Amino acid sequence: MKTRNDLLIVVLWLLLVSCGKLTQYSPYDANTEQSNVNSQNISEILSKQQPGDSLVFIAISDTHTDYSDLRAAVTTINEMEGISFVMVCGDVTDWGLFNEFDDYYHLISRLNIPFVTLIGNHDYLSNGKLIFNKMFGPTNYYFDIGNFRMVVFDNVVWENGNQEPDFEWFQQTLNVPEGMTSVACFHIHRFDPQLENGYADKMLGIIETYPVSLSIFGHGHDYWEEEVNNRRYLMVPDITMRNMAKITLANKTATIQILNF
Amino acid sequence: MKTQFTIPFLFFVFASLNIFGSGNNDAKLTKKIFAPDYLNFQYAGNLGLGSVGIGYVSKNEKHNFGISYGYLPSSVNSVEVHTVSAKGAFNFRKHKLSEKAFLNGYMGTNLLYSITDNTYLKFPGYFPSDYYIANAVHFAPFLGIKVGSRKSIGKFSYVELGTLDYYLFNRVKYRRSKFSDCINLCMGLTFPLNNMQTRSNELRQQAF
Repeated sequence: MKTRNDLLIVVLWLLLVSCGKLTQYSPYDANTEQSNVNSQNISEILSKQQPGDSLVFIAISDTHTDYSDLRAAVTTINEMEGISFVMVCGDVTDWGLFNEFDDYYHLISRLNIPFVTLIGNHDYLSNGKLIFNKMFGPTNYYFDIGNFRMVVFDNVVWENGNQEPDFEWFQQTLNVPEGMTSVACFHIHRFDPQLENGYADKMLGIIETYPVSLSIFGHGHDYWEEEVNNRRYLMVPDITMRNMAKITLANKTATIQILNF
Repeated sequence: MKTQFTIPFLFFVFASLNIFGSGNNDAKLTKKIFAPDYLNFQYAGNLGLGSVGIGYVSKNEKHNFGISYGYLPSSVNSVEVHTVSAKGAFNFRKHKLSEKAFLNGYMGTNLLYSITDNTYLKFPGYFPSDYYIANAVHFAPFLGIKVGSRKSIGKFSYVELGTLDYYLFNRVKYRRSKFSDCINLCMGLTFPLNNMQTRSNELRQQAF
């Protein structure tokens, strides 16, 4: 009998090991399969872009766990032509759990075109920042495409241990060579209480110092556009509003279309 | 963090060593009430890479209650997670495999409290009140099967198919493409402590 029980235990262990994907150590684990997704996708964007082309991209934001809306957005974008990439302006999870990051990745990677993701305040929760770093790469990054520099700036404060965003990196990165302009992408908008303590003024001051064609962000879950001191700002509506922003960059200017899907 | 773990750790140590029960009759009564019936070790199941705990069995052996401490070291996936769990289970099916072996089906839930980065019962003061709900606590319901010896009911191995409240909610609300996305498997071994063996022997005839 003892042998039979021991055999059963061994069989159960083998079953468990063979179902490796079914074992979960903790909901807060960082057990991600993908790595450096942003840099791989940026390489793909750059390899497809021809010199002198105008740049057209789609911005969506705050997908959270609204998967049916994200699916609909992916389907719509896949039917469009002439789009270089999709920028997801943060909050791709509710609680920064690796299971949520995985779900987001598996849905967004159904796009026929590359996508880049920036971190939002919700994505910081739990071990979210570490998972984001493992899965997508650094939270501050940029890439040059034609005469434009896409600058992705992590300006989350509270969920980042109430730390000041890396404004020095932001300033240095926006200081583009002559003839180039930037598009600044971040998650927290300037009216949010997170950016009190002078952070909003500091961020806008930097944007106004350098040639920035457009600043896009999420977090507000609404559509909003304005021009302040000759700089344009766009709040990308959240995915549940079934709206996305189509942004065309040509001759240092940005044209914005809000598309319903 | 150390202080938060001192009380459950000491309770676990005292209970495991049956420190509650030694000496006079009153102490023996206390032992009956507080001394755990079994010690269990578990692999995975949202409690960490491994967990260790103590448990109690109801008089009619239909209900179990236990507490565990689990640990996920950073060497596994770069994050360190401490988890304390309270577990309740109900045996809904008893099956006699042979004269010496039993198989039970049971269901229940774990109440998990985890300590890791950016995970709180109460968020720090710089967050506005009610900005987030607590993200350190979860219910983790499960279905399980245990197989063991009828001679010592407290000694058995078990496999549980579990989920997390939040995964279940998302599954129902958003209809994820794969059910396997929200379930997980774990396995454990339970060893009877002294009084459990006694009770098992007393109740052996009634159990089946």
